[in-house]
Amino acid sequence: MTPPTVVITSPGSPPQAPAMPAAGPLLSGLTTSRAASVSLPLRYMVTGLLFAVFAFGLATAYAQSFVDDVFLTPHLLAATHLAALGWLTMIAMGALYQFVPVVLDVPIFSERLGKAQFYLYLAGVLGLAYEMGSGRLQTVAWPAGLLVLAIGMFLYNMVRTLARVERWPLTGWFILAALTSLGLVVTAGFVLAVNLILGFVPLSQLAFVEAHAHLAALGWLGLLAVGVSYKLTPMFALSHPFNEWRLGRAIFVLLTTGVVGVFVSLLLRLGPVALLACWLVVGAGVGLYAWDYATMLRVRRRRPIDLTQQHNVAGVAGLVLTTLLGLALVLTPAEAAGHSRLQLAYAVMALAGWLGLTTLGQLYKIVPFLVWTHRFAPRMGKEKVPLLKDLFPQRLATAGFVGLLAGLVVAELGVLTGFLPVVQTGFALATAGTAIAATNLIRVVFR
Amino acid sequence: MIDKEALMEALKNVYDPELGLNVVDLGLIYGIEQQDGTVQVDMTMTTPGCPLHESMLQGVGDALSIFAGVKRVEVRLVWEPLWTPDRISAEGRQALGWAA
Ligand code: HEM
Repeated sequence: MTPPTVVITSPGSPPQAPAMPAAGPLLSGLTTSRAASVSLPLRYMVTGLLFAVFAFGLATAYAQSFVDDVFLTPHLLAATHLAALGWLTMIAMGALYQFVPVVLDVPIFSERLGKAQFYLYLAGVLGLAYEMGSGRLQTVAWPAGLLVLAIGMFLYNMVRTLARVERWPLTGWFILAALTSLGLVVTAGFVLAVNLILGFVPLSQLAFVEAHAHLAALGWLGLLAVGVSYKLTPMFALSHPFNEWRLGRAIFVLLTTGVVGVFVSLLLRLGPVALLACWLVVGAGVGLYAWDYATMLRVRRRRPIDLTQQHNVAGVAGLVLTTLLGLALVLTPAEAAGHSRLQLAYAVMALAGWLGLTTLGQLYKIVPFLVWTHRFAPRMGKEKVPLLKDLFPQRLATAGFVGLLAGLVVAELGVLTGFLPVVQTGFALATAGTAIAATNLIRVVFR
Repeated sequence: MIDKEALMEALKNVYDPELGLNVVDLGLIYGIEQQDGTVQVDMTMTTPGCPLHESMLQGVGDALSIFAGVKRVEVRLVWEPLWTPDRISAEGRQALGWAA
């Protein structure tokens, strides 16, 4: 007997002004046929997880650099970029390859380009970290050039993809602003690297470095994290009623203006008053966002706060702390004792406490989901298939999360007090916690 | 004609792998009609742009294909009326820990 034919149609167009949960993009026909193949995003995610462990491992081994009160030292530079580029940006790119097609309802312009870009980018990150870590600042320009090429390919792919988007939900605007920042970051990074040899930029290198780092963390990774949370949080928590535009529009405007302002004030050394004003704009955006995030959770219909949400709550707390540390920095004169410790504590909080925790939390959803759709979805309805949360041991995942969180708190205290053994202990704990997360998630992929 | 209860029961094997709730208790099934060996299902999704659409629609089609006498299953994805969590059944609410 021949099996019955199954026909799937989508006659009506989806809602224009979605009331529930956050505004989605609208589909015509079948959305997910637009999704990229799972191997494209997964390669970025798996590699990014390994880099997370690597970055924390390096920070543990060279914990001394975190109490020396000197910046731009080889190991600090290497650890920063392993974390920012190897871990966070790597995963962010993979996530966008997965996320943009489903949320903005457009296919990725070229998956082949995305796969080729991965290898160039990987080589660029390894090269940059190696040259930085071994103190060869004269040759950093080579891997920096490779990164310009790889990130350029990524941006080209994204621009061609986004050009076809018809309706822009709030998340889309954040993604657009984040990608714009990324383009500027990599350009600034390359100019910095070339400037180390030629010294042609008529600005202080330190001013340039600070501007570059802020655009990267706040503009690229930060705007992306906030934007993505507007889609994922209400969707997974079943937040209802929740309107993303109510505060979201103001938050978008405050954060983007704030980032531009901070970048310009740092770059041109406009002085403490201008910087403070810009930081207050950022702070207002952060405050409103934290409030709006709390609202998403308050109106949620799904009671338990799952692992992803636990990471996110900690991440939002990290964001608020980052903003407060930043405020303290603006208010302390650069010569003041403890200023450089504050600066390091601020950088660690931003990259690991805010962006790192948020990124890992989202991966605990995205990775099992990708594997599930690929492996189990075709069998659903015909046999019993596992739920996403059954794909990895929850207890172990929680242990990893607690280890990382505790490690970060300890490391922060160590950096602030300048006490080496505490910094070492903190980073070692964080390394262990991240290693658990990485093992857990990579096993989901290869099980 | 297949008993509607039996069809609904079969649909309970299709669930949102994230929420752990089946499409019936989630309130995603808006209607089932049968005619001459064709089963037509109208269903919705919790949110537009949810990456699970395709799997769930296909799952619904497959779940109904098991009945003898069914020659064709038509699954229509509809957005009217818009789904809200109020459509979740009492069992579903309990599973989500949603007290209200
Ligand atoms: C998310 C991405 C990035 C973040 C968060 C970031 C962050 C930073 C930070 C915090 C510093 C100062 C480090 C310290 O004080 O020890 C720095 C310096 C530097 N970055 Fe990046 N960066 C990013 C991407 C890039 C890229 C893509 C490149 C190259 C194409 C690059 C090239 C450089 C260079 C050359 C310096 C050092 C300049 C010097 O020693 O004077 N960065 N970055």
